[in-house]
Amino acid sequence: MYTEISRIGEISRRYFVMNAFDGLLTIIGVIMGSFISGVDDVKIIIGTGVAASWAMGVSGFIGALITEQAERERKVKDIEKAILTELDGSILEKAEKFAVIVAALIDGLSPLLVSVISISPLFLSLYSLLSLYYSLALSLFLAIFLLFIIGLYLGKTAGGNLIYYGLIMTTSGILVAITSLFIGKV
Amino acid sequence: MAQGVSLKKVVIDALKPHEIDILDLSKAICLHNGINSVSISVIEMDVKTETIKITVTGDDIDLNEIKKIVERYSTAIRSIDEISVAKQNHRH
Repeated sequence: MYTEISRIGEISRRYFVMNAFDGLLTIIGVIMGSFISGVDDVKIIIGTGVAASWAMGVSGFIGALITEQAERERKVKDIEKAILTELDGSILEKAEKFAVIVAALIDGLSPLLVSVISISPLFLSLYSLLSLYYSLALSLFLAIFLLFIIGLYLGKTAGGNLIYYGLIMTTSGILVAITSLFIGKV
Repeated sequence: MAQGVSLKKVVIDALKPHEIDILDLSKAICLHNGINSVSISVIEMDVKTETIKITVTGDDIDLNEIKKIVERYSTAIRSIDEISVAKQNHRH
């Protein structure tokens, strides 16, 4: 019932896609940056990737917590004014508080999750199961593949062309990777 | 309430936000003891609110309990528009 009252479903979807997208593009940046600058110690790349993922997660969580809380408190106050009654402890107030927590968790966990998945091939290199070059390439491929999956999900939500949305997301990832190459060489 | 008299019907005029579903509200009231049926009709739609008429019938309605449920569902009671009471049947 809380989900319906607070309409958290739609907002969660938006937060999930936006922040997963942010996380993946950042990780593509980290991978390309490491490749261009010739970092040969996989520990440094993993450290950078994990720290960047963590920072994005914390940023997403706190950012959504504060903004959603402010927005939803305002909404409850507006309704209180409209019905001339305090809503403390009522279902609507509880639903809005629930929505704040859900939104913050999704906002924080989505970039963290996709980033950690993307950099997971680097651990193969850490344990000498794969060369650094191949693990970086695999991470890049995984990040771009995840972008495609998120695009498919968006397309399904929109009820439109799944491949079209998937390709737009994939293209943006590839564009970031290519432009990073040029920027890094400057 | 006077001894031996029970509340059989009450009609409440209330104001609720759009977010609250009248089906959820009516079911929540109906689940309470002493209530046989609940019907809710929307009288007026506003930008943020809806004026509703809640009609509750039962064998022995506890008006305070209904007020609590309605308030829990973020709905403000504006007035009690109709009341129907009857003597309780005594068994000897």
